[in-house]
Amino acid sequence: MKGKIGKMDRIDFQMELEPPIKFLEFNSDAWEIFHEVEVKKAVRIEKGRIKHLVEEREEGVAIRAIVNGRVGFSFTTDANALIDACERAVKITKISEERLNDFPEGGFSRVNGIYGKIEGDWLKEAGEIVISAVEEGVNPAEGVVEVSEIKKKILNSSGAELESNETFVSAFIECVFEEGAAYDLASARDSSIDLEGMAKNASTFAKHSAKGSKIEPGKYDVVLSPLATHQLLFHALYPAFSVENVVKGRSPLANKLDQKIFGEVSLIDDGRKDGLLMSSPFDDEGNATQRTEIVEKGILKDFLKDWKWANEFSADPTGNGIRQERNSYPATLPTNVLIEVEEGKDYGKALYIHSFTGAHTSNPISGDFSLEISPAIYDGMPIKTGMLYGNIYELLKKIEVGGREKVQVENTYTPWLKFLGIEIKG
Amino acid sequence: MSFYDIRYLKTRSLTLNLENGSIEKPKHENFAGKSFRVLKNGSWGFFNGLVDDKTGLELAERNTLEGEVEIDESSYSGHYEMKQKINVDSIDIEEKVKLLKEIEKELKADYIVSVRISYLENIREFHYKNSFGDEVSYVVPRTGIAIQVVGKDTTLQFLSKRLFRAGGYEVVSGNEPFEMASDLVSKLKELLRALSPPSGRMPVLMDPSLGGVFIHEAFGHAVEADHLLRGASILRETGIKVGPEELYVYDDPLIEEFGFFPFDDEGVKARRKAVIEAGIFKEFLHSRETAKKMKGMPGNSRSQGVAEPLIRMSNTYIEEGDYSLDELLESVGNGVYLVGTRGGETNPATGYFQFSAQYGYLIINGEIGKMIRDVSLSGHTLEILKKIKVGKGLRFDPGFCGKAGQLVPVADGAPYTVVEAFVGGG
Repeated sequence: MKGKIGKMDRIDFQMELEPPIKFLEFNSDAWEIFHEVEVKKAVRIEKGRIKHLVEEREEGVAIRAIVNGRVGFSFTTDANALIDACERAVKITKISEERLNDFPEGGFSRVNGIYGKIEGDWLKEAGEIVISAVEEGVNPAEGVVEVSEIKKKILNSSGAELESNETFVSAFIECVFEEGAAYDLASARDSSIDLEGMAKNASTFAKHSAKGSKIEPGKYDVVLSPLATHQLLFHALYPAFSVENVVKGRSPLANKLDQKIFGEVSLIDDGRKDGLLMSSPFDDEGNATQRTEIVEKGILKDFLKDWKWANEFSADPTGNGIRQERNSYPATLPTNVLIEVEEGKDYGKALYIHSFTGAHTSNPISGDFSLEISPAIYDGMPIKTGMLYGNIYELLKKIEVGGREKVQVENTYTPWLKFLGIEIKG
Repeated sequence: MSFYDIRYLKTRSLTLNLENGSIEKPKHENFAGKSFRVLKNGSWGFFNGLVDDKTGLELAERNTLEGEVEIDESSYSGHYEMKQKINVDSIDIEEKVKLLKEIEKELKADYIVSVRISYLENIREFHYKNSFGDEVSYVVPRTGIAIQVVGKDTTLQFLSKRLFRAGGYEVVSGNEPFEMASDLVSKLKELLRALSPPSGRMPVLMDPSLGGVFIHEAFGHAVEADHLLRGASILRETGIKVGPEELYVYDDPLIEEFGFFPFDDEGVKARRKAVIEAGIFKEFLHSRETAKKMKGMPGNSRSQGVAEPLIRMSNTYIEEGDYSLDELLESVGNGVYLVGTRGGETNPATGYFQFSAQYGYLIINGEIGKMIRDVSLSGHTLEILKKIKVGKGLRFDPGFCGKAGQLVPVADGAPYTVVEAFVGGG
């Protein structure tokens, strides 16, 4: 039976939705069914060897029911519990103060390059590519290459009937060299994923990390890699773009529309850009995805809006109703955030930061952060550790230039970015 | 096939969020999942999905490769059901909502701009069987309340506290949530006027909440044997001196805190592990696989849902020592007192860790002074415990620990402690 790995089995829904739809039509004023099935296969790498293969299939249904303008929610993976899930969604509306009158009629943007075919033994080959790209003498300690196919369907009482198929390929490797370690990530929609580049990067930075010295405290020009940029922005900045946080007083950008908040940088949320990881024809509640200029040359132009909070903000949704997991309510979250800044040839003498430790401890309300710099390079010299701390709004005022090549790390599509005169502690 | 096991998991949960006076996003979830694992030719193969046992095992077997894996063959059977003193199902949902609204009344002040109170109940019903003929099952409830408040003065700041434990409605029905609320109100007022922290190496007094996260991040992760076997742990052998004689650290899944479990996800009966005794590193945490290889005891394999089991902590804590709080303050002299946590991160391969406090105070000449905010702490696993001073007042704080993309409930505990570490902040 060996040698069949990596090839995706045919993916299809098995849960029968007609009975729950009938139940909801009869027992609620409005309803929505979010139906998703995912098949994942992953190869695990441990200490330079292909360790084992993991395969998963999960199908789930998330129901939103509206009764008297109140929303209830229920999720299940159990095909025998669909009606029970509908009953719970309807029943919980009694205590709910989550207000909605209806669901979107649905929209669809044209997006290409979100479904790729992955053939034959590719997954095992992929694991071997990762291992062999790591430099001799460096330990590819822990890694994974994962292929996932998702089929998503949204049905609601406003007539939306949307379906999409997407694939994701993602990889991670942590390399260890003596007392040093570094990791890197890669992702794509198909087997064109840059596994070799990822492995080489992790391997190089692991060696740097082992040899590195501590940095002298002081002011430096700092360059953030795409990985470091995403880690920092995702936790310290993106929550401030959510219109839900704006309405609830949790965003420091609440009264800053049309004001200059950053240096010469643009941030665009684009949910329909071909081939990007978070692109999709529609968001997780059926609104068409779109391109939204959040910050244009440093000036705050717009916020991200899902169906409910767009309503509260008296604006149109921007296709940012995203479910973090298939069992969660849609929340206002970014899709692909494109970072655009004047192109610099190279970054010259600067502290290049590969990744941070502890980015999730940043303060999303104030934008303050204090992070451990895991491997970095200064003027060709490896740096083992140091602390970068400050405030994301102050940091982005000091942006100077960016690199040519853009890389996607989860929600962020960016080149390296250079900031001037940033304080580093030893 | 030399071994197989099958897990069948059912969970049901209810989540309520009271946000600024309204019950938002109320949610029911009914999860059912099955996981099949086969060991053949020294290699694992996994399949997760709701299929019959025969199909599941065949699909898992299809994913085996070749390797050298052997496992600890400890054998256990049994059933455990944690009794709820007040069954969550015996309390109407309206009453749960009322409790949240009562707590919210404590959270009124002109500087508070946003309040979120969440209620969570979750019943985990676990069934396990393997090719030894073992059968294990348990039912464990978890219940809790989390509060987050956002305040505004010249800056936006937030504070949060969590009360989550294994148990029924009794976890939240006492006075504790109200005490949490009134503490948050008074601390938030101070925090809005707090100073930026000093930076540099200095003595740090940690409250029990921060001390718990400290032992989890700074030492606990390095004790998970999978890191070592990948060649990615700074901690390579037991029997070495890592701290003073007064230092005792345990991981105990049998304490009825948030990290409680009676059997792990490999069907192994839970037991307390001595991580550090009299300052000597005693025991790694193991799965069946790593226990066999390193002649240890299995029992710390855990999964989010039915994902692949990983070696995880449970309730990890520093035992109480002899120092009084006054003696600890005196020993600090000039330094900081740090309280609460926003989480942390560590890299077991390098030993560097970073985590953030919710707030802190300056300590000047052994006396607690002005409040400081956005402060983080970093250091190195092998250095940090050497000079730890352990006081009294052991208390646990609940949380979700992430590893390789999986979250599991844990609790971290400590009395008041003093360490010397690098402190930084925004």
